[in-house]
Amino acid sequence: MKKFMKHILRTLSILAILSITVYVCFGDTNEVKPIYCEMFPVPFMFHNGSGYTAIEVGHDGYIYVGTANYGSSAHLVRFNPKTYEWEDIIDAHKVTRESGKGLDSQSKFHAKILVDGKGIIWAATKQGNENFIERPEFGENLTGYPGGHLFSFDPKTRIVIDHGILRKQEGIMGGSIDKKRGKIYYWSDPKQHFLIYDIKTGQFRDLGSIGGSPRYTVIDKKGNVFGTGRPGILWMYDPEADRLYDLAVRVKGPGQYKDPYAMIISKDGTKIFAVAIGGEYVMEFELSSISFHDKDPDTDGSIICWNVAKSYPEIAGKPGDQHAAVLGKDGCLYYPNVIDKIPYLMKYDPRKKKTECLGIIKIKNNPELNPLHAQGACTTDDGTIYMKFISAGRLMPYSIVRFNRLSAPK
Amino acid sequence: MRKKLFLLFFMISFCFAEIPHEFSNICFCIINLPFPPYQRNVVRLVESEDGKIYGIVSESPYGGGFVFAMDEGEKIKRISRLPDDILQIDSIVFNPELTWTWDKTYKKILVVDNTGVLKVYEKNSPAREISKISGTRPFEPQGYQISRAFAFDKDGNIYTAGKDGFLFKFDPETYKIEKMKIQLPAVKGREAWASLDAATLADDGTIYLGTFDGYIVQFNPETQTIVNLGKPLRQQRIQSLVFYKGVVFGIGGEPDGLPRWFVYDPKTRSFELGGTLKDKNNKLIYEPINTMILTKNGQIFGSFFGRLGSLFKIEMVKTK
Repeated sequence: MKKFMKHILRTLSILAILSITVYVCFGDTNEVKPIYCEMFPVPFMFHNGSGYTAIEVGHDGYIYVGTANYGSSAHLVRFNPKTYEWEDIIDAHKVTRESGKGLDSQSKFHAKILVDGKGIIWAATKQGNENFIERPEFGENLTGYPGGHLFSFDPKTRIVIDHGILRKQEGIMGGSIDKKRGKIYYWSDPKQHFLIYDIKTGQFRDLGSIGGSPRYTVIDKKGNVFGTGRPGILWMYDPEADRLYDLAVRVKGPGQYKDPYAMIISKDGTKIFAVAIGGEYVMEFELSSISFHDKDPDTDGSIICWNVAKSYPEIAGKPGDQHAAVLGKDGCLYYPNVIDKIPYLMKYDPRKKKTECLGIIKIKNNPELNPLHAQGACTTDDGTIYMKFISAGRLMPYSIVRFNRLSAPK
Repeated sequence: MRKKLFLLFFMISFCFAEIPHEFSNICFCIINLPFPPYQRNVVRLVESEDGKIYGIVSESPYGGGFVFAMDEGEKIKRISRLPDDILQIDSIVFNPELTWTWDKTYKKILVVDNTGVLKVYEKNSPAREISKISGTRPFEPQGYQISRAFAFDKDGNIYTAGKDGFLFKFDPETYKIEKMKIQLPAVKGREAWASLDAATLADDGTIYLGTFDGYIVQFNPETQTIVNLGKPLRQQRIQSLVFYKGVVFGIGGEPDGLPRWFVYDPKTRSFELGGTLKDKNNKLIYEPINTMILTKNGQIFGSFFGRLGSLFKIEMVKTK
């Protein structure tokens, strides 16, 4: 009996070794390998674990990051990629001399950090802990959120200027800059008003509601600004006509249209690349297709959007969470896609009209960490991509991560 | 078993019972306008004799300067002119800076211009200046105390408020104007902000007025007396009032804030506060109200402010 058992065990062991050998040699070739990045946690005193699209590289090579500090004062900080040191640039409450708490605080730098032609950094604040049903500033309380401030920081002189509140009681959610015209375009939250700030004159204008909440807005080579509006609509601001238009989206290619979350202008400025939360496809908006003849009854015109390629890795088999995207120096779109708590880094090549999974995002020397929630990204001149990940408890500190020369042109 | 069934039946009945509360159920229906967003922001609605509803979109940064007609099926069509029996003077009706109204015949237009002068326009005639009725507001450069609404009594007399909130009565037939001894309520020192922003005529001839500072006033034009009903909201501005099925339905709130609705019931002399407004998709409405009207067939139509400010219809369900 013992002999028989020994024989069985020996056979099983051989089979197991053989199986492992076969799997290693000829196993699942679709397995996604990790893609490693370096992690630089944002110092804890500047935030409470969160942040949004506010990240950009300055002309000085520093990475500027806006934090969220719920119920308190948000900070604009910058990271020195050479020394790995962080520096506090703006403490929102200190500069504005406001002391609001909870709903009333300047607790987020939410909008994309913008850099003008002179290298001046522009950042704007937003309320945190949103409660838009019973907002104190809207009549339930004598206090309230005063409105988001616009700040500029000149890295040469180190002077911070508070340019004031852009729109009373509204936070600043997202924005873009037209360096040629010297105009900054923001939109406010919750009323979703399109705001224009003229850097030269300091004048400010409000063009009314855009009807949507686009985290990302983009500018094409003519200076037209785009963002998502009401469902199924892309709005466009034409600086020459000084007017907002609503464009009905006409979908081409497979699948349905899903309102994009992250949008990036292509390298030549003729297309908008976009991904949606849970969206199945990478989208390309064809800017040359804008028509003011083909329109719906409640729009001014239309634009064609191509569903060009599956947005997720084949192995995952389903779409995921796509909160951030950035254009690489190689003209490709880079975005994280989180599916079943696995963060894949995806690349869309517009020349090949194909997506490619670059790997599962892993932190170098910290493989146990899981960077799940990317909120913003930027690209440096050498093609290095920085992404900002919010805290995931013990699984990830609030950090920026670096993919060295990932998008450098070959 | 029977006891258990009875208990279950009782519990289910209790869960589904209606709350015995007047006007606790208001359905807010948004009509999607079939024209481009920059043509929205309707500032005035008027119902013609034949029951057709016309809207005026004044000039604004979003466009405008035209009229539309809405048919019985709520289909909207852009037109160039109002019907012949309603006077249209483009420089007035499309000017968002002016406070204006038709008289009850729709043959005359009354205007309070931006310096507080009351004028009357008739077809093919120059403006007839009646009187300067407004004063200025301290601390506001060129800040005239301009009321944004007119009130009508059953006889067709027209009322508005002028300097320090005093009411003026104007007879459009005789052109007689009278400064009344009635002053809109204001906290001491804020008389210059006691302007008339909304008004509606009740079936019994009582006029309900809403002020810039958010007060609701009951005005009896026969006895020329007012009763200050107080402020239903802890905010300034009454945006619009409509008398509907025996109650005053109102929407108020700061232009930068959220609009909120309320109902005043003259029988119980009490306000009911409804809170913020949501559309039928449960989306919170952020923009203020431009205007509301009650049509002859008992429907309330209105318009929201702003680039995407759409028309809306209110269906109020009175529960017992």
